[in-house]
This record gives sequence, C-alpha cells and structure tokens, in this order.
Amino acid sequence: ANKVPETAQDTGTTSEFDKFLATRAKEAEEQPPSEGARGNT
Amino acid sequence: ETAEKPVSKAKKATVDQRYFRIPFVRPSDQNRNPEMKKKGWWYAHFDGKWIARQMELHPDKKAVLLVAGVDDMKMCELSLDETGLTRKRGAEVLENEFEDAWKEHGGTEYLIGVQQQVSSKFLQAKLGNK
Repeated sequence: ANKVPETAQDTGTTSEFDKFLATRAKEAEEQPPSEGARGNT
Repeated sequence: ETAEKPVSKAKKATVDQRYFRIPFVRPSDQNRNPEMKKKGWWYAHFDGKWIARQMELHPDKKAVLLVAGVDDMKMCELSLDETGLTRKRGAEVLENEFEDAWKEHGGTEYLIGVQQQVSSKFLQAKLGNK
C-alpha cells in the first residue's frame, strides 16, 4: 500500500502561496452558484 | 575566468509526483466557527518542481479543473518548494486520493480534450503522447 511521506515539521505554507490561494478563493466566490468554470470553458 | 559550463543535469528517469489537498480558508474566517471555515478544497498535482494539475472544489459550485500548458494563468506559479506545501502537515495526499477526486469531477475527460497542450511530461506519458 502507498504511504504518504511524513513531513518533517508543520511550518505552514508561505505567504506568497497563501496570497495566491486567497485570490483563487475570492475568484470562486464571485462565480455564480453552479456556474464555476472548468478549465478555459 | 574559466569557461566552465554548468554540468548539465541528466534528466532523471522518474520525477517525483506529489499530490496535495488543502482547505480554502480565508484569514478573516480563521476565528469564526468551524462551519464558516469550510470554503472548499484546493488540490494540486506537482510533476517535480512545478504544478501539473490544479483542482478547486467549492460548495455549490462546479469544480474548477486546471492543467499546466492550458490554464497557466489561473494556476499556481510558485515552485513546490516556494509554496511550503511539503512542510505543511496533512497537506500531502496519496496519488489515488487525488486521482479519485480528479476523475469524480470530470478530470479524465478534460485532460483528454486538451492533451495536445499539456506541458507536464508525466501527464503526456500518461496520455500516451510522445
């Protein structure tokens, strides 16, 4: 069975990544319900 | 000054494929009740250093499926190391966990539709492209 590699320590994601994720979350919020895009469509 | 060229790195036969899943939680939601924290999930497949596939799941919305080479503008531009994901406990998931979710949300069909544009060598091989 596959095993997820253990991470050494939980230092969290970087601020750059957190910023990126927040942008993506905001964009999703602006999408009307069930109208989220799939890829470029 | 020596004309020493950097040693060209021979391509590894196999590049690490790593899969991650983290919840969308906005900083403003951090201190709210647990229900407010669940904003959906962000999935990623890294082919070596760079992202190959990204999937975003939000409650009551269609899944957003993104593939490197096709949807680069919306994808994570940071290298795996720059994201910090490898150091975030609980973020890494098994390949089959990612693949199951990817398939469940139409990823297989989407990937086939864009297979000529896919930039990940791993995905190209998986799709049978040369």
